[in-house]
Parts: sequence; C-alpha cells; structure tokens
Amino acid sequence: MRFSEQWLREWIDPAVDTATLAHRLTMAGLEVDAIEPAAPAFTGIVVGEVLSVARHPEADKLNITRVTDGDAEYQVVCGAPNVQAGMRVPFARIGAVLPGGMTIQQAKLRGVASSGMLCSATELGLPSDRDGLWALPDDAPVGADIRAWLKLDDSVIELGITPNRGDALSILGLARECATLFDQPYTGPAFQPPVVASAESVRARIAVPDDCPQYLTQTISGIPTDRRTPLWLAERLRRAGIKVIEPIVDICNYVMLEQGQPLHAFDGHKLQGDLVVRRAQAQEPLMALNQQALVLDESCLVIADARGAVALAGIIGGLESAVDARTDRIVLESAHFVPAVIVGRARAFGLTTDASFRFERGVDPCLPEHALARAAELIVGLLGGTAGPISVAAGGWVIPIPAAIPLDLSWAERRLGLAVSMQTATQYLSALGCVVSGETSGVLQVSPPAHRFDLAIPEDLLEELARLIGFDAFRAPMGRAPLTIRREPETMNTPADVADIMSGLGFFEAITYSFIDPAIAELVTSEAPIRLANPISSEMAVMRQSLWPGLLQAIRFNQNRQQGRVRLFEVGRVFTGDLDHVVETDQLAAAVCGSRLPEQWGDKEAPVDFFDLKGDVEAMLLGLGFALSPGADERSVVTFQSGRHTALHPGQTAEILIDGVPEGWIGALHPQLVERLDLVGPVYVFSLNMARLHQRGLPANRPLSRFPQVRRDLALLKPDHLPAAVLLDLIRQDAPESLRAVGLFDRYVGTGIEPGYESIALKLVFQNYERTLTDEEIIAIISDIRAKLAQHDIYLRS
Amino acid sequence: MTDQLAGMQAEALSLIHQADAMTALEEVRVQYTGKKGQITQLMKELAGLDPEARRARGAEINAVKDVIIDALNRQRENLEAAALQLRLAAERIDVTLPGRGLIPGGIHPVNRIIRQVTAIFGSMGYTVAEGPEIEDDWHNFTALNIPLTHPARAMHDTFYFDAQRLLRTHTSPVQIRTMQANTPPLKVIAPGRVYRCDSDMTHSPMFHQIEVLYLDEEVRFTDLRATLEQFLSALFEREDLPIRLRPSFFPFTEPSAEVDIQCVHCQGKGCRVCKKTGWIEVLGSGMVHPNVLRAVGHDPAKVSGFAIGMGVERLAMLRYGVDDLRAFFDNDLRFLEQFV
Repeated sequence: MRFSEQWLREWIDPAVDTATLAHRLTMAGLEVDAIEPAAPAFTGIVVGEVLSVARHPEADKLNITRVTDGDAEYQVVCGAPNVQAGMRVPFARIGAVLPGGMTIQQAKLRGVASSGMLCSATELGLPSDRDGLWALPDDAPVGADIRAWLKLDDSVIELGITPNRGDALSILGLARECATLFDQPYTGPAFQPPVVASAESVRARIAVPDDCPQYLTQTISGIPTDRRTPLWLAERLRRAGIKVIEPIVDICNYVMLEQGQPLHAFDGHKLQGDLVVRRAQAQEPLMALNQQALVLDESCLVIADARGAVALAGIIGGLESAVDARTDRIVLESAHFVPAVIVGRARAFGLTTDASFRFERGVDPCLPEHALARAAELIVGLLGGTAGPISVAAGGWVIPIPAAIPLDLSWAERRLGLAVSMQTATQYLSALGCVVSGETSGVLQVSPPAHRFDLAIPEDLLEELARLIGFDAFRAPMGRAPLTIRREPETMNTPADVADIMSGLGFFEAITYSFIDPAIAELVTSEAPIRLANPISSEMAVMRQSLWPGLLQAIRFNQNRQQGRVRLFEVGRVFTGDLDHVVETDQLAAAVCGSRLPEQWGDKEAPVDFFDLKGDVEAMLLGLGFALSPGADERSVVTFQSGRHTALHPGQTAEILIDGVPEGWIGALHPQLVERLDLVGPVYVFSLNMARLHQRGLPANRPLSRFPQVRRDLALLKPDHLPAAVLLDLIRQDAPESLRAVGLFDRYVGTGIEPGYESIALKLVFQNYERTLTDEEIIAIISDIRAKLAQHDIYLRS
Repeated sequence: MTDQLAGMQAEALSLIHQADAMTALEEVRVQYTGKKGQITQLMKELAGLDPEARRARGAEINAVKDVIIDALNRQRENLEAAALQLRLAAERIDVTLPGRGLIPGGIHPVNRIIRQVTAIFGSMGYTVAEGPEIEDDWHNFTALNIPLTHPARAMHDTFYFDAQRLLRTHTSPVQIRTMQANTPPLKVIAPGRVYRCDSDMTHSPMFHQIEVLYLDEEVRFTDLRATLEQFLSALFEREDLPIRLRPSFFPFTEPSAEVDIQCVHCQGKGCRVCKKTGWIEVLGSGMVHPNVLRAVGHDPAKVSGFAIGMGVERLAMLRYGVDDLRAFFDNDLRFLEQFV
C-alpha cells in the first residue's frame, strides 16, 4: 500500500521525521518498502495565467503568449498546441530550475524573445496521460508557487502490508496504528452526512446473510455532468498509486483509501428493479468493468437487479451498470462482505482489485455506514447533487462481539522468554482497542476490536505484545538443552563426500532444472514422464526422469560459448512412476566432452573416450569404499556389463552393477542424440543411484605375508567377442589362495593376430602366507588356468 | 727408497692425474696394482731377498702402493664428482613450466552454502531431514495453517500436477513430515529444492531453501533470537554480527519475524547492496503456530518450537557477490570455475 505522508500527518502528526516514522512502522511489522518524493526537485514554478496567444510569425508550431504571474506580464514563446488565452498553467519563470536541473534562462526562439516556459505535467516529473500544457483548474491561485499550492513537498511511503493486517490498509488504520506506536491520539476529518433532500432510493434484500450481514445503499441524483475531480483529491490518489478515472469513482476510491471501506457506485439509470445480494447461479454471466466476460458459479457472491448480476460482490462491478461521464444519478453501495466469500475468488478470475484485496483480509464491519456518509458528503459537497435516504438491508443486524481471548501472563513469559508485566500488557492491548479485564487473576480476558480480524487466540496477543514492546527487547541466553553426540558414521558416505571426489576428478558441479522439455525427455527415457498442469513454458513441462537432459543442455550452453572441454556432474532428484505412484530418487550423473586433459604443453591432446569416464567412475567408487573385484574384505563390488540404453551408443554402453544389482549406466551418447541436441560429440555420460553410494565397508586389516611375491605375465589369444571381464572372472574362479592378483595390462589386435581373436597381456601375482612358492607350484597353477581357458577357446600366444 | 721406486711413484701419480675418465683411471690401476701390475710384480720379487732386506724393501713398496692407491681413490672421487656435475647440468629443467595433469573441479555455490549452513546447525545438534518434492496440498499448505481460502496462498505461485498434488513451494512441508513421524525433542534442518511459478530477473521457477525446526517442551522466542545470532555470525564469519528481527507474518509461525543482518558490505553505513538502510534481509523465522502443532498431533500446551526458513540463492548472492539469480542455473563453466 502506498500513501502520502502528509495525508497521514493530517490525522496524526508524531514529532518525528520521515525516516524515524518509517523505521517505527517497519519495526512494528508494517514494513516500509520504499520512500519516494511525491515530486522530483524543481523550484521557481508558479501558477501563471495566459492572457493572450498570438501566432509566431516565423514558425507554424510556435505561439507567442503573454503570461502573468499576478505581479508582472511576460512574453513566452510556447510550442504546446493546447495553449489558450485564459488558461492557468505551471509557469517556470527566469531562474526556475526544472526536474533534472535545467535552469530557465532568457531566450530567443526564431527571433522572438521568451522569458520563461509554460509546462506540462510531464515536464514537472508528474505522471500524466494528457499531452500538452497542464491545464490547472480555473480557481488555481495565480502567482502561487506550484510546490506549495499542490503540497508537493511530501513523501510517498510504500508499505508491504502482511495478509494478517487488513486493518492497516487505510489512512484511518495507519493513524490508529501510529496512535499506539507514538502514544498520542489521532483525529480524522470532521464531516457531516449530506442532508437528505430527496426520497429516491432502491430497495435491497440480502438472500445470504452469512456472506453479507449488512448492505447499505444511498441514491444521489442530479449530479452535474460537467464535474471535475478536485486537484487535491487527484493528487492524493496519484500518490497512493491509484489512477484518476472519473470524479464519482475517484471519490469512492478516495474514501476507500481514507477509511478502508471499499465502495461501489452504480449508474442509477442502468439498474432495474430491486437489488438482491445472492450467490450466483451456475454459468451466470457478468461483463466486468475491465471488459472481462466472467462466467460465475455458486461460489460467487453477486449483487443482482431484476435482470441478473450487476456486480461481483466485493471484487468488481459490472460494465453495464457502470458510472460514466453522462451519469447523473448513482446508487452508492457500502456493505460488509465476509472474507470467506471473497477470498481466492478474484484470483480465480485473474483479477486483483483494491476492493477484493481488502475484503479478503477483512474490513471493519463497523465501517459501512460511516464510509457511506463520508462518500455521500464528498460527492454532494464537491460535485453537487441531491442525496436520498440511506437504505439498510438486513436492518437490526448487530456487529458481533468477538469472544474474549484468555492471556495467561506466566504462559506468555514461558513462550517469550521474558516477563511482560500486567500493566504493560494491559496498556498495549488497550491501546490497540482491545477491551481488557481480569487484571487481578493473572489471566487477562482480552476482547479484540472488530477491525482486528487477526486476533483470535492467545498466540495472536503474544505477537502483538512482542511487536509493540519491540522484538529487540527479547534477548536472553539460550535455554538448556540436553547434550547429545551427533553421529557421523565412518561406514556412510555423505552426498558431500561424493561431490568432493567428483570435483577432485576435475568435474564441476551443476544444478539443472527439475522440469525439462518433454521432447528431450522422450529421447532419453521411454517411460512417460510426470507432467505439470501449469508449466512456466513448454520447455519446462515435465519432471525429469534422468539428470542427463539437464547436463546435456548445460554442455550445449558451454559449447556455444567456445568451451570445448566440459566436465559437469549433478546430484539431484529424478521422478519416475506415475502421479499416483511417484518414485523420487536421488541420482549422481555426469557428462563430459572435449579433450581428456586440459590443454597443456606436456601431453599430446587426445579426445576423451569411454575408458576415461569409466576410469573416473572407478576412481570415484574406489574412493567411496567400493571394490572393483571381489576380495577378502566386506567391500561391495562394482562390475560393468555391456547393455542397451535408448540414449546411448549401442556398442558403447555398460550397465553399472553393484554386488550384481544394476545401479547405473555409462556410455557414449547416441550419435543421433548428439545431433538432435545440437552438440559437438562425442559426449560421454554416466548415472548412478545415490542411495546405493551411501553405505561403505569398514576397512579390515589382514596380516601381510612375509614371503616374496612372484609375478608371471601371460600373453593370451582370446576370441574378440568374449568380454575381458569374463576372461578375468574365469581366472579368478576357484583360483588357489596363492594367486593374489590378476591384472590386464595390454591389449593388441592386428598384424600377427588371427582374425576374430585379440591378444591380451595379463599379469599374475603369486604369494603364499606360509612359505616361499616354488617354481613347480606356480607352473602347476598356471597350467590349471591354461586348461580352464582352453575350454573357452583361449590360448597362450606362441 | 730406490730411484726405481721413486721413479715409478712419480710416473704413476702423473698417469693418475692425467686420467680424465674412469676407464683410463682403471687402466692405470691395473698397470700398477693389478694382478700383473708393476707393484704386484715388485712384491713377487721380494721372495728372493733375505728376511731383513725383504722387510725393509716390502715396507718401501707398500708405502709407494699406499700413495698410489690413495691417489687413485682421490682421482676416482674427482672424476665421479665431475661426472655427477655433468649429469645434473644435463638434467636441468625449467621448473616454471606448468605442472601436468588434471585440474580439480568445484562445488556449486548453492551447495557450498547448504553444506556450510548444515554444518553450522549440525554443530548445534541438528540432523538433516528430507521430504518429497512432489508434495500434496495438505503437507504444503493445509497443515501449515494455510487453508485454501487464506490470502497467503496468493503469495505462493504454485506448480500443480492436479488438484491435490504440486511441487512444494517451500521446504516447510518437511517440518510437517518430521513432526508427524517423531516426538520432541526435535532438531532438524531440511535443505532442498523448491518451486514457484514465477520467472524474471529476481525470480527463478526453481530455487533452494533451508528449513530449520526446533521443537521441545519449552522453546522460547528468546531462544530463536539466540540461535539466529550464533548462526548468522558463524555463517558470515563475523563475531557479534548485529542482527535485527522485524515483526512479519507467516501463517505457520507466530510471532513471526523477518531477520536482517547488518549489511556485510558497508558494515551498516548504507550502500547500494543494502539500499542505504544498513540492513539486509536474510531469512524468515518464528515460533511454530499452535494450529501447525495441532495438525501434526502435538499439544501446543505441552510443546513449543521455532522454525527458520532461508533462501539459499539469496545467501549465496550475498556471500559471493553474485548479482544475477540466473547465473546459478546457467551452469556456465566460467561461473562455476570461480567456486573451487
């Protein structure tokens, strides 16, 4: 909410400057978001009267005017087309300084002397939707300083009012709050309801008293059609950020800002028959003031005449019954609508109106009659017309008195951590308008005022006391809490451990969106993704089932920025299953492209390949406490086996298994996908189920053998379709304990090797715990191995 | 000493000094002290002398032999030293050339903050809790005292899947799930992704929050402040960092406070970052609302607690001087490389 500081100070004028006032409001929970001057700096501009206008002899678009400031006459050359003799305009005399700092000097325009400048509103830094000179009212005092006359030395204060404080959405409400904060009374403007001088009225009936306990109308007729919104009132609306529309509407808005009660004016000639406040019928149409065709249902409260809905109650009026420039008779509405029937309705239609904003938060039920009188007085007083009697529907309704809230001060101390005395509590709560009793019992009985919709339970009162005393007062050392040791098990990897190893391997952590383009999702996974009902764009419409699409998009982003070598990883959630059986799993994934190593002098640049990324995966898993081959310890074993994945190259895809269970994928991105995603390939990716990475084995020591170890290398010929892993498994299977390790250190195909075969060099490491192995023992083991391999068409290379 | 011996010694010493390589030196050694060397030969000739003369002559020959061996050893050391010098000179490298191999990557700034905040609260005994990102309306709103009709719902622009299911708009539903599943005392911290249907310069449809919850028999408003003071001064690494609690409104806490720290850029003097106020808003907090406790089956008369909610990107922007929210999700390497 924006408001003019001057306006508030007419009601209550605490002896503090703007900054202090703003600080006090902020610290009481009415946060000041901004303070702006009501007008930019300018000086020396007065109300001038144009005495005469004559054409400039040398220029078609210029006029030579004679202008008076009440003391002297000046010749001013003016280019505005709307200049007219007799009009009053802002007149910048010689020496005046315009917004932006330009000083007006004696000038000659096409040979004619000009002593000053006639100004538009825009030239004074004030918003205007009209071109040309700012035509001031005929009663503008000639010679008066514009700043002083329009009271422009004012601040516009913008408050971020929280949803619980609907009572503060008016000058009255803010004055009331300031009265409590500064401990001084406030006074609103004195006014008299207009004399009832006609018998004209409409009858209104309330069909749903729970939604609308009170509905008042007053008919004002004979309003002149040559009416104008007074400049002072327009200025206050402007400073409150409300557009000047039409004098009657402007006055309704003004009273809403002043009192907090939204009002509505119907064109009295456009209503037919009696009014009724009722729920809308299904599919009931209403053309709203903003030209939006609404289709209503039973959840909407409407004001209807004999033909149908004429307004969406408390939210927006109807176009057909709207006031316009020719309206001379109005039916003014002032009513109480309960928040429950307004809340969410405006938003459902994509509307936010000043009325719905207030009714949703709760408007003081005591206000309708008072605000109606204020509006009628301003309309009759400022515009003219004759007021009819106030017509009250649901007469006899009394404003309900909210139940008293018990406030136990010892409980308050336990919750706040600081004692609040009976006297302090009573004083502050009374200042808020609460009726407080029970001072002798230690438990106060507090009846909140009708305008405080947010006060219903003891905690609400606690908050009021805390904010009025000031949150800053609530300081005390920490309360006691039992000491417990936090567990950080050695046998667990944290997500941070995973990320640290990845970053140590040269990967940068990325964060990509959880919602992705369905067209890309489809290329990576075959199951249907979970769809958002209201995505922000079609490229962010489905929940990701894989981290790859996001990472690949990030790769493209970087490739487009001349980054050839990209290594990214992400730890994040993927969403599989369907909406009724959502499975959320945390995954680790990475994508790489470009050269194996950063460009450097000592290494020949080579493109990254499958085995580089596989090496990274192996290094990471070893670091996390996994084993790459079965051993005597408890570590889980990671294996890779050839597989098929929609997104991956069919010949370069492996499933990653942990203890034989599939937990991830690694491979080259399918060349077609590289093309579809507009990437520079090849790109390699992997993914792993994070949950499976949490557990790690506890290291277990084994005594070391005191006897020498022996290494024997074997050059083998194996069929090229037989995976190396199978060969290694064959050797490890049922191997004697003396065979400590098997390693593959070379692979060769080509000249000298029979087609369909490849040469594999293995190292075998032998060691025994009890004795030094003899050559004969080693030869025997190797001979067993050879026999076993021969069954699979694997031979020693001759 | 006979002239013959003296001549041999002089000749040998001269040859030793002339030897400029190990092989040459070795030849000299063989020539004099080898099996058929001159000294050895002289020793053999001793056999024909009488014992007295043999002893005297032997002593003379041995003295010469010692001199020669000594000279041989010294020359060997000299040659070895010279050879080492040569080798070392040849092996000289330009140590200022860049090192070889991989360069490390880095951790995303958002996760750096999450780690830091989690570690700080961890030191106070808070444990990490998690919850689903696809939430239901009850956990995300209703249980948090945000009924369907509450105007506060307008503050959350929610991504929906259907009428009931949505992407969580804050990490607060983790509070609800934690309180449902556990009995106090409870100290949890829940970092994670949250989503709002909003995208512009200052809003991202996805961002991160960290929720903190402390629930026990007698948690007081002053405990919230004390916790915040310790936490914020630990996070921003400033002893006694001034903080300010401003009354605010969240449906799930009461009293509610927005929390400001003294501007870490200008130390409260007023600058562009703090919009000349000297203060920067960093998080929201408050005492858990009794309606929330009731919704999860706890008796507000018996337990109380506080909750803290913070936006991770906001903290990261402040801490690392990032001024464009979108930088966090572009994953531009040039940006990420700054966070190693």
